[in-house]
Amino acid sequence: MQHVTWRFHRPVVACLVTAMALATAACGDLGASNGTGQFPSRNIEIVVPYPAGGPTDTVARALADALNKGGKLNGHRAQVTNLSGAAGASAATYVTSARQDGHTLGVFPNSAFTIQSLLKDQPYSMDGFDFLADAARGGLVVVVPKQAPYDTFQQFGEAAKAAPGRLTIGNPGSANLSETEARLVLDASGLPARVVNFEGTAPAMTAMLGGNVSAVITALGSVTAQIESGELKGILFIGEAPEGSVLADIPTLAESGVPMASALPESPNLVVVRKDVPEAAKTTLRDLITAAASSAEYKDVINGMGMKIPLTSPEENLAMLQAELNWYTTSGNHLCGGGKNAETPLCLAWTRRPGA
Amino acid sequence: MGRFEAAGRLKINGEVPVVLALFVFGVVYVVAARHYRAMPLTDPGPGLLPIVFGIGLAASCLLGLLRLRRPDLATRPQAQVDDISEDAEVALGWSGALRPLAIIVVLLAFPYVAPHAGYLATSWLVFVLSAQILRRGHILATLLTATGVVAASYLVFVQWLNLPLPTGLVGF
Amino acid sequence: MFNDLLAGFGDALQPEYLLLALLGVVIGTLTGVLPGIGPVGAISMLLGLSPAVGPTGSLILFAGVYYGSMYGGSTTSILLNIPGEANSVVTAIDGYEMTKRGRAGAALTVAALGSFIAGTISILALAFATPVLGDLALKFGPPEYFALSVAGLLLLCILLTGPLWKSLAMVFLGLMLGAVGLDSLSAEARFTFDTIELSQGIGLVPLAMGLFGVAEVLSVAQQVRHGRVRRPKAPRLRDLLLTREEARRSAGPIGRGSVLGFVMGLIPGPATLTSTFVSYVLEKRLSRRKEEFGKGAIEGVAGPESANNSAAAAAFVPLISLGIPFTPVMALVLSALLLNGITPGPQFIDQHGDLFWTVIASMFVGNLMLLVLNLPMVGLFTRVLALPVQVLMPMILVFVLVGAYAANNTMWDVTVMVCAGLLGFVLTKYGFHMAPLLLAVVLGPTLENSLRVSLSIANGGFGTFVTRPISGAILAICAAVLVARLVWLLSRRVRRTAGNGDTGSATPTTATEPDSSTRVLSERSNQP
Repeated sequence: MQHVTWRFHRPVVACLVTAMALATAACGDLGASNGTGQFPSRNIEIVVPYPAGGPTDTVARALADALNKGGKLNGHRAQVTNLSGAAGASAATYVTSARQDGHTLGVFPNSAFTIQSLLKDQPYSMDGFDFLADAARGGLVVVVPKQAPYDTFQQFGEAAKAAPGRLTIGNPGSANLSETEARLVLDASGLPARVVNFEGTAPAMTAMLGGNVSAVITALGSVTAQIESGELKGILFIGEAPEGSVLADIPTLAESGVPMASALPESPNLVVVRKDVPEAAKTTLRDLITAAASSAEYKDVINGMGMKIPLTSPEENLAMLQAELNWYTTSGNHLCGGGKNAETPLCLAWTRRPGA
Repeated sequence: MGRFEAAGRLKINGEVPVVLALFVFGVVYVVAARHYRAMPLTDPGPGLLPIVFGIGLAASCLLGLLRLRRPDLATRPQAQVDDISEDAEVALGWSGALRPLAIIVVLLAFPYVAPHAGYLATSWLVFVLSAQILRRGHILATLLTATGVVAASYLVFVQWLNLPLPTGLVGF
Repeated sequence: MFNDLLAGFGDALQPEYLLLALLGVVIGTLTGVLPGIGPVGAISMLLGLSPAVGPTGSLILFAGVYYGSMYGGSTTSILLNIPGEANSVVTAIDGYEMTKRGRAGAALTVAALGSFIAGTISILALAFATPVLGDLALKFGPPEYFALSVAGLLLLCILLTGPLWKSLAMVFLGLMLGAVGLDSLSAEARFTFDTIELSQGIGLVPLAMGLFGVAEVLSVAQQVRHGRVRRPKAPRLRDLLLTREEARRSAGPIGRGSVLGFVMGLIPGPATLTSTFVSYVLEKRLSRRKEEFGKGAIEGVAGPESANNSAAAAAFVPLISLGIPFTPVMALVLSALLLNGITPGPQFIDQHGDLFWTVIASMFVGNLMLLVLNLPMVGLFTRVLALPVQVLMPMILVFVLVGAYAANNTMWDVTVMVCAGLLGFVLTKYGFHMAPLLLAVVLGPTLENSLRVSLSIANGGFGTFVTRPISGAILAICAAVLVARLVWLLSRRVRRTAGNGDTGSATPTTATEPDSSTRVLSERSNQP
């Protein structure tokens, strides 16, 4: 008997599910159009090595959106896939083992190819990729809460010297550009402040607003709104701020009197594809990306996060990564803090630098 | 500590090897965790907490083993004796473990078969096999229900939620 | 403010937004009910739609999915003992016991009603208290997260029945499993044997489905040998409704759960999850029927279910007032806003007031939709229990296999789930609880990271945990509870030796519960 009642209900479920399917299909199938041309011949997949929601993911999604709205995809669509895990290794191997027809792209930060591969033998290498474009690039900024007693980095330095070891700079994660720059800045200016690693931007910001750390160094995208609203004060800008924004008022390294000989490049978001994709496809991809990145909507999103759209050539991107790798051979010893930080991942990366 | 001495004992008999296994796992884990940096406390490394966790497991298990060794502490209060006697027939014996093991084998095969045979065929097989393991008979009914359930799962997961499930060589 | 809200309702009742809210709650309910895919997966998939539906539409859609999944998550917990997500683990304790007693309908109904009431209360709080409450999160620094995580794990161990050492062993085992993979502070690989699969860590979703779902199937498979499987029967139609008694008993827990969930939900990290079992402990403490907890007490479903829905709404507060997303779902909502050119922050309500009030209004509407959709579904869902073993169990297997794979598109998760199933099956057989193990896996990274960050901030001093008022207070409560438990154990031993071992069933006189009365997350199906 119970069996019968169950069978009676199944069609109801089926109908409900089908209705929903139709509803989603109707909503999801926006902007499809027909066109002619060789590439792309199917949907383009853009892989992001982080969970959905971070700055890199936002860049990738804005790019996918601009590509779709550009209407040059022969009726196909660009879709973002988040493959977080193994600090980018999963996504990188996914891109290098994808089909060679150039329909699988990745958006990666530089650290995936530089410091991460110095820290650990990775199942991928820089040689396996072509760095099509730099879709968005932002500097790093040191921020403090609006009620903090210092407005400039010099004042921060004086406070740090007045209470040695008391002031702390939080950063969103170990062995990335933020921690590297934080240690370099402290080393170059000789400040007795300490670096504290957090497991992301949100925990670091919360800790700072709650008064647990004195300042936070982080990539621009995540704090631009708070700086603009005045909730946070930027006291040091590492890189070049976009013209005309409030960010341009933040003192740079030189203006703050921090003597840093060789700074690392700003934080790029590189669009990559596996190396052995046919040249024709790569050319088309570059054109598509350039067109998409020039669209007003894309500019709005990226500039809104305080980032620039450099669209450098693949050769320039490769040279930039090489320069970063070479940097470790020349200046990385600062990261070991005279042996004090000998076991931190950053120092380990330096001791394993190319040619060491 | 005879195996079939008393209902209450039966359970305790199987318990000791399980707790011992957990204890050994804790110890091995601590040994492995010593390869990671733990100190200094001003910047604790990734090895600090795993060592503490491993010691915690080993210590809890040691405490448990001691209590199981002392029957006056191990014997359960009256309220649970009923449960245990009811459980006696269910307590793990080899014959009782056969069906669960068979199901585990079927499930473990899924990751190896599905990428080649496609998810539809594989989950259909999983359904049919596990249904047969659970209760033999009604082959035709099982085959039909399997088809229905797999079709429903296809509708929900692939058609509607658009999940990229493995398609296999056949293409679906 | 009420005018703003009214204007918001005007906007929210437009057909377009109504449709989006409906779509959201239906997708949410479905992803909540299906094992594996949770709100994060569903919203990630829908994020592509965000620029097309605009900022208001995205928020309405995503809020609907989030709420819906909180509603749906309890269904499988109650009916099948498979928590689809960590927030429903506590619901499974008494929910599944109620199902075994034929009160599945009542449990589902009270879960839906509790969710609705908690949702409504918390949306009101969200609407009117956001500017005031946003700063609460900032009172909690790393030492407080550490104290909260410890408190959460310890409270759960103590509230569960059975020997304390078994629960502690499971907590440590969970913490150990949670440490596998890349360390999030140093990016160093731990216990990965140089494999990519292990460096991603052991997934929570496959682990939960294995420890509860697969283990339950294996347990049934083992009982089949005896020809009679003791499993719950589907309730009759008239048993679906709440009795007057049950309704009366649920009112308090729903109210308290709503408030508790909202307050705790404001605190980032472990607090959202912790709120469900704090609510459970609270109800057990307040109840005059303590002995029923773990055996199907309706308060144990009503309280935690209200708390998790309320906490879901509270999670929006820090995002809106500070611009910081504390949970993965809120990170996705932030991303949707960024993609539409809106950056939330302290000025959000001033600058985008119409958006805010429309979304609030539409949350009310969505919440009502959920109730209207879910109450009639209770009967349908309980029909699942009427399926014969050889249909229901394979069906569960097919769905958890696909769910485990789909959560991350990797077969590794399927293997993890099956292994977890075997582990859960063996351990439950010997009286170990799976809830502390799973919660330790969830809280492990928070506990570890906050401890290490706290030490790093305090330059290596442990004093920071005791001297800070909030963390000090939380840890002091933990210590007090632990001492009370030890005293009770010792006094029991003294009484036992004195009374010649016949005092095991002595009535509890201290603050803690005897470890004998019940079994939670039952190791077998005992059909009443």
